[in-house]
Amino acid sequence: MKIEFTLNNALKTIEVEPDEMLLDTLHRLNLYSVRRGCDTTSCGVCTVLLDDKPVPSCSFLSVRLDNRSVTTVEGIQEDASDLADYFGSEGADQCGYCNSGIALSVHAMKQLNKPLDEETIKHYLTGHLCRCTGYQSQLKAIKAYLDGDKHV
Amino acid sequence: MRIENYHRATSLADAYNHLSLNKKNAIIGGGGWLKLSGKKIPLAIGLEGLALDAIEDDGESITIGSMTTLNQMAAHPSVAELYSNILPEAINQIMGVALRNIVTVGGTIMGKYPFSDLLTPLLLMDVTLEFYKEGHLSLSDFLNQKGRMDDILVSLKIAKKTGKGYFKKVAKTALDFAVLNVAVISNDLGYKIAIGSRPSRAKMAEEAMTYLNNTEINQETINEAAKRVSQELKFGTNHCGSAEYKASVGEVYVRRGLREVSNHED
Amino acid sequence: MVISMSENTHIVNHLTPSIDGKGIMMGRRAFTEDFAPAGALILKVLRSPHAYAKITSIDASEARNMPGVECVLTHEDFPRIAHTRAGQGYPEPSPHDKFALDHYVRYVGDEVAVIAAKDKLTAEQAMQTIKVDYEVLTPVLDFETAKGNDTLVHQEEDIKEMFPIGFNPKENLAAAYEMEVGNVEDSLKDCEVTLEHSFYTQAQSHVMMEPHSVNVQLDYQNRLVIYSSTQTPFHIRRIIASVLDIPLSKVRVIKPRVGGGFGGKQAIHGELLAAAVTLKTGKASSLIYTRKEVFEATYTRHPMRLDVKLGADRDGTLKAIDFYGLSDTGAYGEHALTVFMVTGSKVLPLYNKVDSVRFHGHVVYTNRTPAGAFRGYGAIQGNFALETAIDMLANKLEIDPADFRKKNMMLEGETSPIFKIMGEGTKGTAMTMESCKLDYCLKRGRELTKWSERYPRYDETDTTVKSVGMAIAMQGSGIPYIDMGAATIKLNDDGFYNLMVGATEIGQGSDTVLAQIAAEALSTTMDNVIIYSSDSDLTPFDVGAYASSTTYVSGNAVMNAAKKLRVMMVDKVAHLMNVSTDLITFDGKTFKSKDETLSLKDFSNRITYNEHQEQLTASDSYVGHKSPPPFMAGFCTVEVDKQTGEFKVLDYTSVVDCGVTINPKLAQGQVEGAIVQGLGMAAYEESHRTKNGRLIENDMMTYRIPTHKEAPHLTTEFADSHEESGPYGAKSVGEIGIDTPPAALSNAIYNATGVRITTLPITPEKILEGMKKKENDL
Repeated sequence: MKIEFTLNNALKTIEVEPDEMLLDTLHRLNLYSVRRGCDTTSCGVCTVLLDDKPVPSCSFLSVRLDNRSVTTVEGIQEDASDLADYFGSEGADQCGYCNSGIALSVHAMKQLNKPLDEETIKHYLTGHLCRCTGYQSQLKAIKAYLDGDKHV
Repeated sequence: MRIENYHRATSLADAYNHLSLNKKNAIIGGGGWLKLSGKKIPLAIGLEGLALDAIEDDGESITIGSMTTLNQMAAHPSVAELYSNILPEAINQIMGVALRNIVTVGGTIMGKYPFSDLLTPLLLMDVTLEFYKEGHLSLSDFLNQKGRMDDILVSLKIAKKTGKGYFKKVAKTALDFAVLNVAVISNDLGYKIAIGSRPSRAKMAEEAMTYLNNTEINQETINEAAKRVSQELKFGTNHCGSAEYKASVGEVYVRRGLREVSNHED
Repeated sequence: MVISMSENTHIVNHLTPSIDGKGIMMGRRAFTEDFAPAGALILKVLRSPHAYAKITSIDASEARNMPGVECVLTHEDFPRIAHTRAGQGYPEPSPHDKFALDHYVRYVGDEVAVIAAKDKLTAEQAMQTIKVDYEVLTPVLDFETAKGNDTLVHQEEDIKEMFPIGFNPKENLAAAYEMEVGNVEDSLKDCEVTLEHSFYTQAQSHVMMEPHSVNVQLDYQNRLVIYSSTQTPFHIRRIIASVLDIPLSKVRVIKPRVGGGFGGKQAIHGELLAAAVTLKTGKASSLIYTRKEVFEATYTRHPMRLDVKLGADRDGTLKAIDFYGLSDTGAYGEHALTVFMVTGSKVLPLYNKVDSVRFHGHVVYTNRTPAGAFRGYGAIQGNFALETAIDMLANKLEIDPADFRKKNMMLEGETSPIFKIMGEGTKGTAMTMESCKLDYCLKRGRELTKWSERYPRYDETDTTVKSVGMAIAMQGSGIPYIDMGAATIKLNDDGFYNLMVGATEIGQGSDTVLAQIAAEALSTTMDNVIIYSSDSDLTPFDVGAYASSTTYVSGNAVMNAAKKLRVMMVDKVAHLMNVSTDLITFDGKTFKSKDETLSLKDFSNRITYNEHQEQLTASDSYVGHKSPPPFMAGFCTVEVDKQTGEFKVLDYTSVVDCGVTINPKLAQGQVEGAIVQGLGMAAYEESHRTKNGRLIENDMMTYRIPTHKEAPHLTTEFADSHEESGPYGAKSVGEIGIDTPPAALSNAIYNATGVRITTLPITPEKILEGMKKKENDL
């Protein structure tokens, strides 16, 4: 099936199989940042933004992309670079495999344009598993980033 | 899981016609766990073009389109008003934000999932389902129906009532399936109690409810009602825990729930 | 090289963000899958549905004839070359009991055939057509009845141990070990109080976020080039070459970014089959494990039963420890002996002043997923048993468990006879604790958690109670006389350095830490040292990322190589300036003699292009002569719901002695990540098998690791410590964090409820059951 969607602000037309998942389509388009962790919506690693909302790309049918927009880390490079600075100062930068999905969820949180307390941020991050950091350093980094804390 | 063909429905009639062409054809809700089903679907039908994700509040009831995502439902102020925010409370404990942005309330209901955290509190409310062909059916009748429903769920209607609610999901981790989930509400008609993921699907504790709704509410009767719930409902042993453990914990949370909604807390 | 205690460092022990965090966050090509060549054959592995069976016939003809299928390999296509998949030094202390593909399958998930096709769908369809006849055998699934069982997991004659490790497959033994200091039976008889108890630990899965991944291609020298998500690139090269019977010189292994290992990638996964396919077809191949395969068909932690006996006098002096261990290594013996020995060697020395101590036991084969290396590597299992038993003994003696530890534990300047006796698979190395701040760690942890006010429990109501529990731990820093790491560093024009190390970055920050060490030694900045690691052609040898060896072993090699280069540069400048070497000073940017100054940049350009041209390069290799243990005290604060047994870990406080922290924030990250992974084993992670041996929790939906919401508040501090033999005073920090949570939590739960859980994981159901039993007993 032919679908036309916006990918990182550029219009894309592509043929997809009826049961092709968004993750595989994005891999076909050489978007290295989109990673596969569990294939069962349990880890958050494959998260991308669909119409600015986080979704698990491993389990979203590409046939439904028509007229919708997808954002991957390739489309939010400046934000990703800034967030990386905050991760670096908290020591939250370990293996990095879970980072792409988190960067996009954090971007979505930033678009809410309102102050978020730690509990709320934790709630939004619950679906993002990490085996390296123990979570606290990540949470601190993300809160500082969302608060625009210049003390980095 | 394989899908041979995909059709984007242009109307409900169009969707229904395509569905009827083959017993194995299927309407796709959110499709979040479709991949795990191992099914082979000749024709998958999507309703995304039919604007079935609206939520309307006419003062007497809230009508929720079947393609509304769980996050959309949890975020709606009218939904939050029902029974002390019980529905968003239940929804927000289902997996993570991303999955809740694609899973739909229609998919949840049609799936009749035993582990569902949403069905348990919904079961306690006055919920009417609207099917394309079959028309209206109460949620509890639908859940009790045997066999498959070869129809399209268009919307659900929840009667608005004032009352208090309590929900507790017992689980190992925040992303886990429930060991069990407990919902308690109180309104002018009395108290209602349901436990789901027992591991069986959510069920109301009718006998315990009858007892409680015909007696004076105090610490003793609440304790007694909770005990009766744990004895009335069937619990099963699996790798989440033993039946005895689930019954004990169920009793504790029903008791706490009743205390909270009846203002008889310690 | 001796480092003075008073040395001030500019980069070491300073806040330094990782050199690669930004690039990865921005989504650059980094991980193994990203380097699979376009058009590489996609590989799928047909796996056994039976826990134990003989393949009586296998017919892949239909698959081979399917359009789009390039090759199918079965056991008929491989010569029988026994090997171990374990990534360890050669000769390996693990039995050579594995064949590339075998006509026996020994666990549900064991490899039967590999299919290489143009895409995933074709490979999967081809796989369905392969006809296998199995003679199903009765599996051995209970490790407690494995030894001496009538069913033998390994019947074949052509398997062996590389040197004596107690390998006896006719008894289902992969390994066995015993050692004794003094006479434990006699000591126990003399003790005024004794305690005896058995502890069980489970088969934990690593659940690193990146599934195991490999792709292989032939380069234009017709050499195999293997990109693998591995912790041990050099061991992979050696093993692949030997099993495929080709010279090592024909194999190159490159390790890209690894999305987590934790020991789960310290052994061969898909590399062998992918390499075999590429050799056979001449085409590139790619094998990426599904998450299900990661759970079922890679490795787990060794489940164990530990029978502990302790003896003490009434005054609280610990006199005797007896540890019998039964370890389940699953279908193959990777890491069987060594994990088992660490269960004793990196736990028992904590109480070094006992009169007698015995460690003995067996490692058995069963028909389940093979167990292998996993952070902690036996120390976490041993720590759970010992540190819970110590609490039980202290309770029996009515002594505060923290005081009991203070009285009996290892102190700086002391030693233990166990160090000399127990190595990792071989003899050990005697060593004195030049740095051991365990007493400070214990004292500080007590302060931070308000232990004296709160022990055993506090804030008790009808429904809830809070409590504190603790444990101490030690680990090691590399394997002395065995683990070798090497580094090469060169000076480029423009005055920047390339640092080449074999050491394996797997997300723990070794690239950053090693670059820091080099930058410190050369008095330069981080952006001036470009590190490249783990390419078997281009980087010098390193055993790989395990045994907490990278900072201590590889770090020493880096430091020495950098210092050598510094001397070479100064010599060269002296030569250029025609003065004696001792008249030259170098501050990292500029060389100065009495009369002249020369910038590093100009110097490097001159000797590259203009005069006395020379490529200045220095190398060093380091092998440890000791394995100085890091130490820590872990304190768990927990809240328990008395009516349901549910609990919440409120805080986990760690006070760690890892010597100097080369990178304080990354060190903290290592500890904190390990604590939460240890809490996963303590409380949340569990799997079961059907009676036919199939793993039930084989995806991330049913095997639960801690999420943000389970992670407690973490308080992490480092003791002011310095290890002379370590680079800039460092020891290691990669594993120490994982050891204490199971015992600390078990002890906290006991302090809260009086219920002692000695089988992991600690669950609300076990707690509630225990509380009900106590009520009934009353």
